[in-house]
Amino acid sequence: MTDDSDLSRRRFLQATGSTAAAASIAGCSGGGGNGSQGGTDAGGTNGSGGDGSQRQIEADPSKTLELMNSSITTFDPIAATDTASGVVIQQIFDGLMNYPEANTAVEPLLASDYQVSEDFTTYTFSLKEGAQFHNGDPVRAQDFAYAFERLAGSENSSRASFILDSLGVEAETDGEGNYQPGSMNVEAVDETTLRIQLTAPFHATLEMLAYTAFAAVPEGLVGDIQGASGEIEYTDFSSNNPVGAGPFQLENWQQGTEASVTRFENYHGEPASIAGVHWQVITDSSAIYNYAMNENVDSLFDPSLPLTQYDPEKLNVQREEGPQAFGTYGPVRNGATMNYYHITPINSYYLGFNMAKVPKPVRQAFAYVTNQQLIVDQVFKGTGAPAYHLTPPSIYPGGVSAYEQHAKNDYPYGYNETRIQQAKQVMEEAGYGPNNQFSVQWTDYASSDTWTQAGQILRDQLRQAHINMNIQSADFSTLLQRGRNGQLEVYTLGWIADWPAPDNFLQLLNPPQTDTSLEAPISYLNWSQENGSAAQRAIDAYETVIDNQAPTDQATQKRNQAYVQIEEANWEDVAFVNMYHSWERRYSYDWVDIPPYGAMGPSRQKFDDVKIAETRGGGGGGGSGGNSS
Amino acid sequence: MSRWRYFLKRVLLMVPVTITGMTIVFVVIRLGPIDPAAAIVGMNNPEGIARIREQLGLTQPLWQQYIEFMVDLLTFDLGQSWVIARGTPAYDLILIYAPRTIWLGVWSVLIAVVVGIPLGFYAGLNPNTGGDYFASFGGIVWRAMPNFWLAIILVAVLSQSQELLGFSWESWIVETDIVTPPDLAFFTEPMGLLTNTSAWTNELIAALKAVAPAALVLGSASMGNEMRIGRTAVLETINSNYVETARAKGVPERAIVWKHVFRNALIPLVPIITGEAFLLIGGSVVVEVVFAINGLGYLFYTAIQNADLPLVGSITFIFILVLVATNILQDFLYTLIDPRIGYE
Repeated sequence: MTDDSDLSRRRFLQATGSTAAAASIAGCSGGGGNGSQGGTDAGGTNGSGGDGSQRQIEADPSKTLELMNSSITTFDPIAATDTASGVVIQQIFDGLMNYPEANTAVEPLLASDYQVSEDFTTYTFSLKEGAQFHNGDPVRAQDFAYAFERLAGSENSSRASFILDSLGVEAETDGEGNYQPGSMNVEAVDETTLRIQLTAPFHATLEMLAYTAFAAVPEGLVGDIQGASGEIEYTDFSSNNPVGAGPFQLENWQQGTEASVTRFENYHGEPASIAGVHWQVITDSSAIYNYAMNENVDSLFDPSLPLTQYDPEKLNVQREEGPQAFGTYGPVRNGATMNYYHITPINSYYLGFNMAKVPKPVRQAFAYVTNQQLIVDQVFKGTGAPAYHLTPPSIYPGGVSAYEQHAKNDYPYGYNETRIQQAKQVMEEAGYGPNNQFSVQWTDYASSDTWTQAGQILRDQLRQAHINMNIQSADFSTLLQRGRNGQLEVYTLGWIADWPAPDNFLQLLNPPQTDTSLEAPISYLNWSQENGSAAQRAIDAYETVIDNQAPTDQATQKRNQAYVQIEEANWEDVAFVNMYHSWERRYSYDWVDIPPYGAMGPSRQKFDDVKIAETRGGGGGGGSGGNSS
Repeated sequence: MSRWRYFLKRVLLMVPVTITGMTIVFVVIRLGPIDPAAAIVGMNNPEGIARIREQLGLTQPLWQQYIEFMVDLLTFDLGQSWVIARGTPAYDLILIYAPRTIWLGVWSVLIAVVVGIPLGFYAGLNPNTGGDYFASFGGIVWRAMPNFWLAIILVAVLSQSQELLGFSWESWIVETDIVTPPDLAFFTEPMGLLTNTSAWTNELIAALKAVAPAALVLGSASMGNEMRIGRTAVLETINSNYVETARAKGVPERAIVWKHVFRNALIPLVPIITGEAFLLIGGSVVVEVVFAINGLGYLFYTAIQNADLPLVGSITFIFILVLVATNILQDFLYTLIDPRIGYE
């Protein structure tokens, strides 16, 4: 997930959503403590810049932030599923709620206040007064009702399941389960009051509403749902004129080349501290590196960053706070030393097993030989944290320390060690031996060769445990397709949260949802009683989660217990071997100060609070900094 | 058979070629392993996939999808992209990506033709001299360097031109980036040449400079090819009987070279050059990607990866049309150069 910026991988990143992070823990300790949480004073006032640089930047509000991106597909918030588009949409559109600087603790954005009914199924939002869209129209509750109806019913929507299934807004469906246009129970009570009726309580309702798919769009702007007049053509909206209420408005987009946004002066909050943002579209890792080394960008963010160019020796971490780390990286090729920042965001990468095809002793042998720390260090150059749970540390019940402790004390297959002897033993007890080897097919996704390298390490070790592994790569969408058809045996995938809570991850380990004979299995495990003794425990625990969805302390506690039970059931049956949680890294030149993003990751950050110095350059010998704007 | 009947025949032949080509595209994409709905939705919320499939019309019977696909293309209704830029007409996308590739392709073919052929002829006219050895050896080495390698090296060297070469490539003559596509906006206002000459020519130079390294890399392989083939062709004709006869008649050496040798030596080069015309449209994905030019080749490649059927279909359709057209052009060129070749 790091290396090459292949379209499908990117798509995967976002597809997987976007996400989340260190739930309340990071939100408070990591975020607040160093000023990352707050509004305008995030950067310089406490003496240390957002990036941890010592330099105090005299911000010049006429500067444009220069960044890179991969290919953007659309600006329609309900159609976009890729990170590249999401990053831009995040600047243009505002929703009811927001992850401030991508921290997991959501705050109202276009909402000023909200009430929840006693049964936790009715949410009533009051809207901020005086907020405007880029076209000058006031933001009203009707605009949200329209935007939500588009999300559920427009043929352009790729995210209808967010509102219909994840959030579970009350709506009617026809016999085949299709949404009936106009039947959604979302009502604009008056211009500033919006009422949303859910079918059942959902603990992450507010987080879900911070997703850009739920952003406000002027009522009737696009005519892709019943009853909407359609003031502009759909393609005009999705590519030239995306009207939102965010801090920036679109200025220019040349498909496959570049995009830029400029400050929206009538923004409902503090207007942005920079004139705009410009993204150059570059996808090849060596081109990305060269473009950055020529000082054509101010900051280099993770998905675009080539792992091949990363040298861990040049990293100097000066301080760590929870999942965050600040420091410097360099000298880079042009002589500059860049400011470095990373966070362990809410993601997880794992090996999955089709349990109907791969018997338990083989899965256990995989778990025994896997040394997560070794894989992270050797394959991913140390740019992540080893994973023992599917739930990332920052949202793990009890937090980072509970995660560590549970893993250290209870992980049955060796914490940070390779146990080839045990792997051999478990296989021999099951009747395998030198003349009776088990053959298994490993499939990773092709956009980068890192997982293939991980596979090679495991293959060599597994040979001693009488397992003969064949390594293969497939494109991302091919991999998913084959998974859904139940054709995979061992596969590598990852998950990035839609909302920052463990159930978003652990649904992958809910045995009934992993049956590949279903039309839409969420993971491809085929986990059942027949191939795992702990399947029933996982089923029961997940039911507990479903039955306790209310956003109350009591329900949270019940869910938390169930989460840990699911993790332990997975350890027992080895449905997933958890591998690592990938860092989101950022490298910035000295003349720019961007607040550190929270665990929801860089794609959820709005750039309205960035500082850029009056003069760029001076980083080192290299290029002359050809920033045109 | 008259020229026109021949031409008509070739045009009619395009029809089965196009239909076969488009059918292969459809079969490969729709029956292949990639699911466009999966490419759109990704991994989370698999429930979404069924909805997307419905929206894209993937739930209809395959034969119906095939007929719609073919009818749309053959009536030049190129449709809208599914994945790469959902809802955007394929025509618009091609219009954005194609000019860069054509611009790059023109220059890479030109560099090859202008440098490769004269060098080859020089070597052929002066065989086994120092100059011949130098040119031939250079041609082989130049040709042997793989495109992707040469491209990466060139980008790296130019990025550090200040230290390595003593001047900054980025600010040399006009300010340009080393990677990123050329800005071809000035082409849309050809009148700018008259009304605002200096700005217009500046943009032209910048666009030229922006693709020059990529064109050099892309042209390098064919440059070597043309050099080698040109040399052989000249050597062959210069030792033929009619050249000897002409010499015996006392035809001046200059006339022999230009009238007799040059024209005949061009014959084997024509298919090589027209073959390169494919660079104009397909470009080279590798070189385009390394220089971040993001042209048609790159668009085609990502469209295939994501099973963006309408886009792949449209681009292939255009590729086929252009290729068939260049083939016809090639036949015409033959008859111009060599009157012995007829249409029988």
